[in-house]
Amino acid sequence: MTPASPIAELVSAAAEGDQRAWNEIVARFTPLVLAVVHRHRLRHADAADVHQTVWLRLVEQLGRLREADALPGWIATTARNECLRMLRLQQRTQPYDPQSQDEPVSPDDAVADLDEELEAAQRRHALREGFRSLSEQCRVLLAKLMADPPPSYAAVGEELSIPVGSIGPTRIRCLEKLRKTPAVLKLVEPRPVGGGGVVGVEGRSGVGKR
Amino acid sequence: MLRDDPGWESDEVLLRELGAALAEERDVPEHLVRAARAAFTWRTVDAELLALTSYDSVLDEELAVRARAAQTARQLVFDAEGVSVQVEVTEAGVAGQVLPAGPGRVELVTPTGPVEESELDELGMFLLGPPPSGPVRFRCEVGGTTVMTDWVCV
Repeated sequence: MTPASPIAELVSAAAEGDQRAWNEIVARFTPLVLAVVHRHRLRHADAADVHQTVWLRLVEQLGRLREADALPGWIATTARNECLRMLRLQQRTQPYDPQSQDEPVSPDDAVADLDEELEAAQRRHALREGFRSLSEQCRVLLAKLMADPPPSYAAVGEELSIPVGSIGPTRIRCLEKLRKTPAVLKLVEPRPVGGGGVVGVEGRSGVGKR
Repeated sequence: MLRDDPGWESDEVLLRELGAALAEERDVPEHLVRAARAAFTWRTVDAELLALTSYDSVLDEELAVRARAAQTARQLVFDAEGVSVQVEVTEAGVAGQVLPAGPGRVELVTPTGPVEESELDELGMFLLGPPPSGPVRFRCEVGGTTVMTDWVCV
């Protein structure tokens, strides 16, 4: 048995009725849902409806999730399927309006490069998870260094009261730790984007494939 | 080597992608977080059966080709063990049938609760008004069983 990952703990706590665990899951996965949703360029109201639908569906799957590690794949796939459904619904019920500022893309365009984008969204999710598990020292330093435009080491050293000479080596050490976090390491082992077998209901996330 | 090699061996690339990842987290609108948190109230559902979507006309490729421009009704079928809920949604409202047929009742439910209800006639048929925007589901009581469908945006 491998020790339960923090996400697995949150999922089982939420399945037992712990609203705070659910809120934490929401906080950690909402950026992933929205990254997928935004890729489909839905209208704001439709994007909000898809987002809510994904969470309503997940809450019913909590007790059925067999492998919490596959949750990012399940969430990304469910969000994509609901977006495709919404796009087709729009296309059917709302004819093209040349005046419209936010005319939706056709489903075919939306599907192009989608698998790649789904993977990229899951990679960014993994980076957030990895970053979360770093020491505070690493998180503070990396957050400073990723500012745009990049600050000088002198400015960072002064701000954080650390020797300028230690910034370069610490940056290397923190990024290496990030690469070694479980969330990021998991990407080394290929896993199907569809998150197959995550939930105990057949075809639950297959709506876009029919 | 990472899958699809995102180039994370490079410190610069990794730091840049981390920055993009954390920016996504900062940009989350609060009202969406509130809606997602509120979904938790649906954790325990007072239904014995969950009926999953087994057919959705918007995902029917053949239908899409045949009726490209036609304003056909949205048709959905939800299936649970032994019970099927079929609905047709138009601007005028929802017409549906619960099978096997029998007297009972059906509720149109939104994330904040039921908004409308109707009796099932002897054929299991029912009529409801136009559904609100956003996810909805149907809760049916028939033959002593309570069935709740998937959430769908219609």
